[in-house]
Amino acid sequence: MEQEKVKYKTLVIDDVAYKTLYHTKYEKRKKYELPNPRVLRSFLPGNILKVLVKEGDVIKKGTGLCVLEAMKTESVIRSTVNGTVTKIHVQKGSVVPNNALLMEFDLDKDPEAQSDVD
Amino acid sequence: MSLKQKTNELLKRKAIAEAGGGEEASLKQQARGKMTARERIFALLDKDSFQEYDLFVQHDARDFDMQNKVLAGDGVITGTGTIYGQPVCIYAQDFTVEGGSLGFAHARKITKIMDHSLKMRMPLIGINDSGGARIQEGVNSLAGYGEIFFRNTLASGVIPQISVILGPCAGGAVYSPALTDFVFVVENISKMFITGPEVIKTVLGEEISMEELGGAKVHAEISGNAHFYAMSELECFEQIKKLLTFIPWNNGQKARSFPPKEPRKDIKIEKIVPSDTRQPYDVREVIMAIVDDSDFFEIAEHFAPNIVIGFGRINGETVGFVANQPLYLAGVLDCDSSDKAARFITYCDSFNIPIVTIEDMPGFLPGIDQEHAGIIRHGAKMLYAYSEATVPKITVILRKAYGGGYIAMNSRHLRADFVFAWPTAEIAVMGPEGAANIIFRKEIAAAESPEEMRKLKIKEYKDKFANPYAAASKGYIDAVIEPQRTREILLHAIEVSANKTDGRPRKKHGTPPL
Repeated sequence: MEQEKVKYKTLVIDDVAYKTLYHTKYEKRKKYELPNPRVLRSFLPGNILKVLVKEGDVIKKGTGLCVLEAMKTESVIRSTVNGTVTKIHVQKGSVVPNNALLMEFDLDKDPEAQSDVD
Repeated sequence: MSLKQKTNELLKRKAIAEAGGGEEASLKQQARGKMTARERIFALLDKDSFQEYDLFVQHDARDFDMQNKVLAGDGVITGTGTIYGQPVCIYAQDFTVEGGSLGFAHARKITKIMDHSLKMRMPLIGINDSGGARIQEGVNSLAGYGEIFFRNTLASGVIPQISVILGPCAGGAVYSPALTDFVFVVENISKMFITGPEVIKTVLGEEISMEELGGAKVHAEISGNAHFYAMSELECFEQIKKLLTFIPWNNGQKARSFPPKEPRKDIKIEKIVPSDTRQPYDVREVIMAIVDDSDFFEIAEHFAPNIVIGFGRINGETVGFVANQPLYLAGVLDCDSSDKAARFITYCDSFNIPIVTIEDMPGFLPGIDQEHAGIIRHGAKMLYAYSEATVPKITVILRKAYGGGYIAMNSRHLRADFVFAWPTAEIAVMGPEGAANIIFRKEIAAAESPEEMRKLKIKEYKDKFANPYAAASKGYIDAVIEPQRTREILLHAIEVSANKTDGRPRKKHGTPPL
């Protein structure tokens, strides 16, 4: 059959390298990122109604950080770590997309205190 | 009034109602590159076969000034007709009438024709072109959708249900197509989504065009919601008609038989597949070398192309094909390809269509994204669908049949009726390289030249296990066959399976890993 030369890619499964093509969805897939406890990201797109802490504040697990209004519901976002707020990227009234960077923290050194994150 | 006068009066009333939203609205529809609802029905059905019902139905909404609005046919055309002489029920939403919005009377017309198609055991074709719920009718329009969805599930597996998306189909409305067997979309015309771009922008602050969010290509390629993708409405109608030649009219019948035809002589099955299992090829050519007239009708060709599904005929009888596609992702099984195959297998089983499985895959796709997306649950759908199916089930293993994938791809263990293997087949727990690396880890590590030893051990493993004979010696494979005899053998296998009787324990239903 008369065909243009196809540029094949490689896919390795069980130590075997197969010559094949990727499809669009496979090429567009996102790389997995490990969850980072040092940053707070929005879990839904919405509005920041209130910011409950300021930079430099010491926070504990359960400390309220901000109020996010999303899907017609107001949720208080609470800390899952013990540490200090180093940077706040939003203010009252900010409109944030999903997975937006909201705050950054320094974590307490004590590894005991950081285990059992829920 | 005389009979003639009364008949004239009828004709006058009909003409008004049949004009739908009027000339101006129809011209707007045309300007969008769309046919009107009535033109679509005429284009799809056999000439002069359409009989309309409920033309004079009117809504009885009284809020928001609706009592002063007369909506022709309440925005939907329903009726019966024929395609290639076979009866079908059809409805088409009329965008020129109040944006094809769905009110209670509109929904009742649709459910009436659905009830009819189920009772008369004939296919239902729904042409969707609607702005969504008629908000003025409030919860009544939601009730209307619910009644349609319920009937979609009643009819599922009894009659073929076909959804054609020829305009917007948004919000709750999308669930009727999602419940039906085959969804057709057309480039630039079809738009499907739960929440539209405006809502996404105001609520989420994310900007996206309608086409990128839920256009034809998105659903054909990324979401997998659509099974057939066409460049024009007329091409779409040709696809629908062709599909209908392959499927039976209801679950109590078999698909129509056609005169048998040999495949094209220029496609040589033994020339398509490289014996080096790492080299790709297009498995559709293998299917074309098997089916009558080399006519393979592929379904969902753009979604999860690493598995190929579709209909062809062998000796004039419809067969459903499920085939790994080494051309894409080496033919691996992953979440999407498992879903795609599982639904098709279930369809074939519901409608008495024998399944031929063409196997050549290295296993399941490794990766964090796949594991986290639930490859375990998705892969299980395929195992479930094959195990549950009692239609004739035949497998041909061309090359690789490794690991869990070997079991999932209609193995003897899931009650395949016949499993054939080419001499190039390798039925093993995993690929030879991986297996040798594990089994001979110590020998390889201890060797003076580990690389040499690895090569040696891989060869040893290959010679012993990378062939069909180990599986054949256990009876897991019924016959090792010469590649060029594949069609002949499948023809025989289907012929001798004609009176297959098989059952499963009685139950209300299983609990498949949805």
